[in-house]
Amino acid sequence: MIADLQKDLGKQWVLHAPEDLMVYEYDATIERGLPEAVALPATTEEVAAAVRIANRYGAAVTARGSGTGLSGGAVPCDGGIVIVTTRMNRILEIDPLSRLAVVQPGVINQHISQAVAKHNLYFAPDPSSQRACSIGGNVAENAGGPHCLRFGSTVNHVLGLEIVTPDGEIVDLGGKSGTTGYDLTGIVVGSEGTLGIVTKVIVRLLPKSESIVTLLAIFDEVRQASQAVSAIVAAGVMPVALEMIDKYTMDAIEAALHTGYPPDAGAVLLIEVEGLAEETDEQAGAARSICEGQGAREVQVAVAAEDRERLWIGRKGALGALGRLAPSYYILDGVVPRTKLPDVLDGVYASCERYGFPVANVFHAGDGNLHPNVLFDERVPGVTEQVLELGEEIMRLCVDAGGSITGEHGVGYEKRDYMSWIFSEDDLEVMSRLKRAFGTNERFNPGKVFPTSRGCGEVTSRMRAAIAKVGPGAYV
Amino acid sequence: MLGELAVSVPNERHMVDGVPPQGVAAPADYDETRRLMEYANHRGLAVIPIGGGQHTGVGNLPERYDIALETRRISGIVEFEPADLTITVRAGMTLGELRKVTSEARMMVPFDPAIADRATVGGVLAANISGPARVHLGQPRDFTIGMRVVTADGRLSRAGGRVVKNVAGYDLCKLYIGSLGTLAVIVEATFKTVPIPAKRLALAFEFSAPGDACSAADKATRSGLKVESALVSRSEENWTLAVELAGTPQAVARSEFDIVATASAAGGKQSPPRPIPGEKYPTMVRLDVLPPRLPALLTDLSIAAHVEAQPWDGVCRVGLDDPGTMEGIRKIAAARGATYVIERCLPELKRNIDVFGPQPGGFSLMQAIKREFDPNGILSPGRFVGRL
Repeated sequence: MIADLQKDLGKQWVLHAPEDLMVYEYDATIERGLPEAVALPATTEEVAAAVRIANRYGAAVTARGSGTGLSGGAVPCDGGIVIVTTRMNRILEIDPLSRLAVVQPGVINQHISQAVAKHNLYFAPDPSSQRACSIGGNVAENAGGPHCLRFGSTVNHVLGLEIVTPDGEIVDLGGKSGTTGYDLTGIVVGSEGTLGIVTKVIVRLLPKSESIVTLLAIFDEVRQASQAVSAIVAAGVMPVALEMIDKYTMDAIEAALHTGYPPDAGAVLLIEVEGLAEETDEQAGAARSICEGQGAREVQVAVAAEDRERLWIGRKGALGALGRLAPSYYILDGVVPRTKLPDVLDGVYASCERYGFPVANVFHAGDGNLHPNVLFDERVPGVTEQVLELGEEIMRLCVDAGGSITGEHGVGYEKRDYMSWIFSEDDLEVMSRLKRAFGTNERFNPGKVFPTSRGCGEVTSRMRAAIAKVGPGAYV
Repeated sequence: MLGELAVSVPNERHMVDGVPPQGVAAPADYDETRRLMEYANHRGLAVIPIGGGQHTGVGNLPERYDIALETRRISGIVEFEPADLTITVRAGMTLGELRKVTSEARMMVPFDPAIADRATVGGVLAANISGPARVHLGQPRDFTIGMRVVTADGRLSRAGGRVVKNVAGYDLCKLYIGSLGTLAVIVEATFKTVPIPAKRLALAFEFSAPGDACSAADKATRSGLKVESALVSRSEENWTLAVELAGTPQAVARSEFDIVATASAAGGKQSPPRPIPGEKYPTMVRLDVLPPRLPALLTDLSIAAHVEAQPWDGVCRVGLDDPGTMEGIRKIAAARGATYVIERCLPELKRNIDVFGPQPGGFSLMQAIKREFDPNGILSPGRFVGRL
């Protein structure tokens, strides 16, 4: 199999030595899943060839972009071939008048906005990992980020795709304009690499706004901050981003990055409004009064780009900063209706206290998308199992409040056994029809999204997917 | 034959492209809908869901039509918490009823205001209807966050959820929206809501060339003015840009000032806004093209009785009095790189053609999906792209 791959891709682009394979056995989590080979194609045809070779030998196929995923999506569950798209990193076309671009899957998310900035356009989905993550990965996970509060997730900004199906066929879905038929583009986005490998993306670009204002509202207590979030949303103020950062996280950020967050606050809200100058004035004013009404002790306003940037660096660098506080963390990704946010957040803190683990909450409060980060030391025996139990309890809180098990990180194989908390047997059966329609190949990114009887490594290792070794390159 | 399900004799409103069903069933709830579909699937009876009858003309001629599944009794609100900015309703609810309920909380579901009140939620989703307000409000796929459907084999199943961010599992909402009743019967939907703008203002400008109207619209939208909808249409010898501004009073005032200046700089003259008579033509064709190519396309369409376009999205609708001109329009579309889809026409003109045009990329995947979801081919057979 390796020889066949080398023939089609070139010897240097097929890795098979153990020390090379280890680099690709995990994503932003440390679950071990060793592939048999790693292929780095340069073209769509090479991707298709690699898939066909895998099929010929009955090997599993797992696609991988930058490897920054938070649900184990790019981790090979069952050996086989990992197909890495990082060499396919060109922006093929920019059409500023039509407001779209055609890009290869390995293009880094932020590079898209950088490339079109001179046309006063940008690509809206902005996951915190955007300096590192690939657009192909964003498509697979339907990535979000702070600005999807107003602008939607990746799926709302993709017009078409070229994919390689599990059977190794190259297919065009959607298009720049006037597409007919079932919305296969909308189906493949967020399908976590189980329906095909994305080899080209047509992205929609938005015009930049005239005015952007970022506010930092400082509260003594988390409860005040979460109530302010609900009040802002309920009042019809429509910020483009509404993030919460708690004290534990801020302490870490300040120690690591010195961005000027206040040292003694219980929580802060990072609120961003965009639009015409008249709108941002009004929305910023409204957001400020609401925060003050909820007890904010101070509301800072940043208008100049450098000041706004400084506030965001803190938010985006939060997870990396947490690495100073503990060797391991478990990131959760629950979503709840906004009105339930204050109670669920209280519940999260209470659960963590009961289990005895510190938790750092830094998340997209405006969408009700929580990211509790539970900090611990996995080297201490028995602690990992407790953390996993705690994680399950927190996810249960979210689902019981009418929410979902994942807002943006994906199901991967970390959460596949929780799918039955929110979907019935019938629901899952209907979803499986889609998988069959795309190709009968059970070896295509196996073990992801759907509960299966087949294990992926050890029994508890499926849960270890979301437990990470923290470092400067970590994002949430 | 169906027990306590309300079954009746078909009338005019159940006809689909002139084809009547054998019978009409009007289930009262999800469970009756399930039992009806189980029965129909077992007997191989072709079912077409009928909502408000506003968009029944979309699609190819039905291959078979046994049962009209009236959705009007599956109505009402399931859940509405304005502070969550979401609402869940049953699919037989009309847009008029939905608008009334949400406006009481000063909210709206972003369906295009141009869609008639009589249309049902399920029908608008199945036909994926949007209009000139798409520029600001988006399309149904952008604001639909969850659905429940009854499948061909009578299962009640959920897609998405009730929260605005959700990536659990496959997003089947994207599959059902626009599927024209060929994959499942939509019985419930959850939407994002947005606040009703504090102020709306309609403006109109006359231009002598379509390119000027389009470029004024593009500039206004690109610079972030509060354009909720923009429509360019031909009226007599001129081209009218009709714009609806929406937002706070200050933002609307600023937008009005700027758009008047922009239009004037492009040679436009302000005129009183008036209604656009698109809906009365028996033949409506839709052309989609990349926005920069729109002006040339519009210029070529002089043979059409009525022309209107959404400049930001590159969507153009052509109304024809004389169906004989359809072929000419199709050739113009091809020459200008536009797609050509017949939105409605006399049934006899639909024979032996596919109103959607050539099969799209991934069509064999679509066929496979249809086979998986409706193996007996009982849901709106023949009506969709490629006669699916």
